[in-house]
Amino acid sequence: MGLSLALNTARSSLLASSTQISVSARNTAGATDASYSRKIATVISGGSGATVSVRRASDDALFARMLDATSSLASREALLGGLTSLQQTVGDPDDATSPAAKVAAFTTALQSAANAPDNTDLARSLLDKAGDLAGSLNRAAAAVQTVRQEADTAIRDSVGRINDLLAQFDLANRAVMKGTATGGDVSDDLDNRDRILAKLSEEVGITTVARTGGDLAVYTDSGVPLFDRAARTVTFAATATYGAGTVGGAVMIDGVAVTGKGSPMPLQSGRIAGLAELRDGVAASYESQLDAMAGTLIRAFAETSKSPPPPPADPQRAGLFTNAGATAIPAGDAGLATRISINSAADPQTGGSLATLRDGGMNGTDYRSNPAPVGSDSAYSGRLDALLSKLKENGTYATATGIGGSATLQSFATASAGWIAAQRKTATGEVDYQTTLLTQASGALSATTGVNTDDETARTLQLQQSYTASAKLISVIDDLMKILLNAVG
Amino acid sequence: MQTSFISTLSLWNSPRTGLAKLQTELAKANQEGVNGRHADVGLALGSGVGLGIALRREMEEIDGLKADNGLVSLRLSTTQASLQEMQKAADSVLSSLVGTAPGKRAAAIKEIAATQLSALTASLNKASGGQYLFAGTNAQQEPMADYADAAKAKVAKAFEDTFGFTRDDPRAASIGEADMAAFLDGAFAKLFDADGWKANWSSASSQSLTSRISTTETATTSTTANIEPVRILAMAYVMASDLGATGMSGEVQTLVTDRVIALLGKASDGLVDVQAGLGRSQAMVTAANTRMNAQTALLATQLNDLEGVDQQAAISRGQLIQQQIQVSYNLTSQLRQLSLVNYL
Repeated sequence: MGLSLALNTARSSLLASSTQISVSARNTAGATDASYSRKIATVISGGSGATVSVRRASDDALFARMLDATSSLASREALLGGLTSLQQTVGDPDDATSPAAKVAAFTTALQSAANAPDNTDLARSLLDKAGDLAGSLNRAAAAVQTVRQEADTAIRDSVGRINDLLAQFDLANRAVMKGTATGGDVSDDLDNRDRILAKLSEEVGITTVARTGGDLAVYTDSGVPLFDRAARTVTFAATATYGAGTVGGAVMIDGVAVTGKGSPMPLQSGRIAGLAELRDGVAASYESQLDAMAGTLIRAFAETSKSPPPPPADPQRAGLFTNAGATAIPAGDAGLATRISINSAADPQTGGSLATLRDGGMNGTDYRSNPAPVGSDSAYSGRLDALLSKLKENGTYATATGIGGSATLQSFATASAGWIAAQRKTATGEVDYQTTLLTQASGALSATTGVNTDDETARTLQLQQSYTASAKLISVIDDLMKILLNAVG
Repeated sequence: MQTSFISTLSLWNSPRTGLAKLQTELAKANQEGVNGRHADVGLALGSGVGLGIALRREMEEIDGLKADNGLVSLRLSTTQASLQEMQKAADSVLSSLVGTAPGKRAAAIKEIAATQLSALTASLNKASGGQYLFAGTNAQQEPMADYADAAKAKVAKAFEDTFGFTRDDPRAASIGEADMAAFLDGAFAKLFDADGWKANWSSASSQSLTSRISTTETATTSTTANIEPVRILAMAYVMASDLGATGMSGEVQTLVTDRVIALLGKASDGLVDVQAGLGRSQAMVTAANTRMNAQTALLATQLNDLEGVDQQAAISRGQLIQQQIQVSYNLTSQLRQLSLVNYL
């Protein structure tokens, strides 16, 4: 019968309109949520009226770009944070706080002392400057260890967040799969899953692979599975305290090391990658530069035995600069910046004598350079001159320091200050660049998948008209039915 | 199918996306405008920071050398004054000796020479800036002992060993000219050669001080009490005052005073040479200071070129940024009013 068919169609149109209005209301409510994607209600006309299916606006390519930019930015920001802390050991060149400036001040004091070796004020000042220099190396090394320690703690926190997010992802993924199987509206679950992925991409660079049934697998940007049917465990053994030369632990995902030198599949981006680069790369290089400076100082100021042959077992002993007070010349440089200190035999405050700066002999009279008897020839400048020219000699620095090659202590220290500033400048440039990329990627994503409230308002007005028309139709059919029934009755 | 679409969130955020960056830039521009230096030198220069440190190191080295040169100049000028004093004393003794009749010379200069000998010792023991000027590298020990302390006895012993009696013995009158000449050239002169001098008179080191006066030059900046002119001068004074020549024959007296005249002349010439040598060092120091002053000015300019910014440019950049921020605020507030709902 035509009229009841028309009534049914009008009823289904009424239902379709109200569903569409409710979707519009949902969109308006989510308009200010950056991770909300616009829901699209599509009306499907069929034999017995209209039904509505809801899907969401999405763009997989833009979303992947946004994840990528988020990871890269997080990595560079983590690195920059550490570099900014390390730069403080150099400070503004005008403040003369850097080890390089302390080397310069020390060299100048040594020159002055060599010009007036009998002047105790200048000898005193030389000792003070030597103490300053050793102290600045100690402080810089301590700052490096603090930075490494903080990076280690941040990696631990990051790993905790990843495990947490993977558990959430598991739930969200199940919800999507269940909804897909039952043919329900999964758009909100998809939004939720994307939100978790966005957070995950801050910690670690990820790629996603879509599977049938709405399932999604997540891999790191180096190819290690983070989630595939089930969440994989991410583990990390944090190191409680960092000393000279401490090697931090590696982050393991599913049993594969993803950070550190021995990693077969190292992470490319994400906060963890930046922190690992800081902890194991930049900070470690800077520490080895400081160690090399300390080693050069200890060796340059060593005292040589004058005792007649056969020479003693240790013809050279530490002079003004020592390895934490030991008399032996250290074999390697590792950790020297932390331990370098002034020889107590030169410091009157610890019972030493300033005259040993000029004459040598901090290790006993056998190691004295001044040929004249103790107490005479107080303007002997031979040793101070020799030290000065030794300090200005070229030494060889290992390439592992990041600066490598042949250089004087002064030029190496200066290059080290320049190196850290250059690293920071590069990292800042990269952060700026990645910020721009992320702004663009998320802007493009939001512009495509977000909600336009004006559009929704206009659509609601449109739907209001359609609702009114359907309601009017029902009332018309009702009238027609009445006429028909009256005629029959 | 929508041909163009933008979400409300993107639209509303659009004027504000660059705002945080603009505000950071504004703070930076303000700081640069005030200080005339990069707000963050390390960030602006990168590895150029090393150059800044190197320039500062050079300036510091030069400052240190200039301060050192102050001490050096003081030492040089006081040394010069002492040398001049010695040389003038030698000249005055010489002229009074020459102006006296040969027969009366020995008696006339005996007292003057004794006075000048102690004056010479005092001059050589002069200290400046906490160091003895003529002590060489042994700068903390008084270089000269008093004549009466040790050297006088040695002279007396040498005389006795040669002639068999003391200087005030009446037999001294009988010493022959040739014997006297042999004594003066032999045992007596030996007391004043380099080794005898160090054994009897001087504890100074023969090594004079050298100083670095600029980044590239070193100069000899002191002399010692052991140099030949000083020893000859002391020999002349001792010969004139303490050999007892007045009690000897006329010929011997003439021999001795002639020797004294010759020695005084030689000592005076020698002292002039030493003064000239130190004068060259003084000139080098002055020249080095002038050059280093110019160098400091140059380095300061270079440093300013490296780390400085154009203050005017920074200020006008700041003003431009302020305008941009105002535009951004303005747009944000206008967008807020822009909604279809307001027109229904």
